[in-house]
Amino acid sequence: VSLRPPDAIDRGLARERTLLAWNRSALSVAALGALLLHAGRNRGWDVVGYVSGTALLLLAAGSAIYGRLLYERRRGAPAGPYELDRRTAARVITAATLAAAVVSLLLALAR
Amino acid sequence: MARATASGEHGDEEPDDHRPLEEVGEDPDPRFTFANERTFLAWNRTALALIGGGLAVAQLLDFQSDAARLVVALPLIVMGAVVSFTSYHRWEGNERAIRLSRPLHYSRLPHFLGIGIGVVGLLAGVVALIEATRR
Repeated sequence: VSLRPPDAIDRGLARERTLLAWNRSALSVAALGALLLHAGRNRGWDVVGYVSGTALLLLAAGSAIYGRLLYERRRGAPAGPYELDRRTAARVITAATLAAAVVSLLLALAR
Repeated sequence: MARATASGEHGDEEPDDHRPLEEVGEDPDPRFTFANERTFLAWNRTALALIGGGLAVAQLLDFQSDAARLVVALPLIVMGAVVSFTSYHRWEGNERAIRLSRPLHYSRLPHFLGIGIGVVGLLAGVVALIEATRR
């Protein structure tokens, strides 16, 4: 049984949902970045807040661009699922999330 | 692009092998890859929301004792980290399974997360009650 359906029924909707998922992720990353900026100032840890917040805001911009690149480049291209190295992208976003968790823990513990 | 491995080798293609994804099995229908990626991203957003929620609790809850604040905030942040870490490994495991046309394994992450959020909710309620009676 082939897992590949006839091309005729593939309208690129999966690709589009993935683009939207990257955009939502970018917004989530940006929201946490803004929260870190705010929390850093609140706790008197301005530098920590600025560095981590700005890093996440940049990552948010990068995620939105990356999602768009995936969407654009794969249109009509034959299946080459790893041409853009999704694993690295997944690792970057996971590492950033873990780093944000560590900073958030420190900020929560700071008095 | 398909780098099909001889079918006789399937015995050593365990889900936890560490070869690069491209060398495992064959390129799947891209829609499966997209679906796996969206699932990862959705879990990662869940992790970000847990972390952000925990940080917001730590910042905004105006309890008398620090312990009360932290008892709600810290589990949320730790759960966020666990969800983020686990969801990446799940993404990679699923990607391997898809490339090998193998069944995907169920994850215990939803179970863990449901119980975790329930417990934190209960804790928050108890802490809020205690704080309310103190004033």
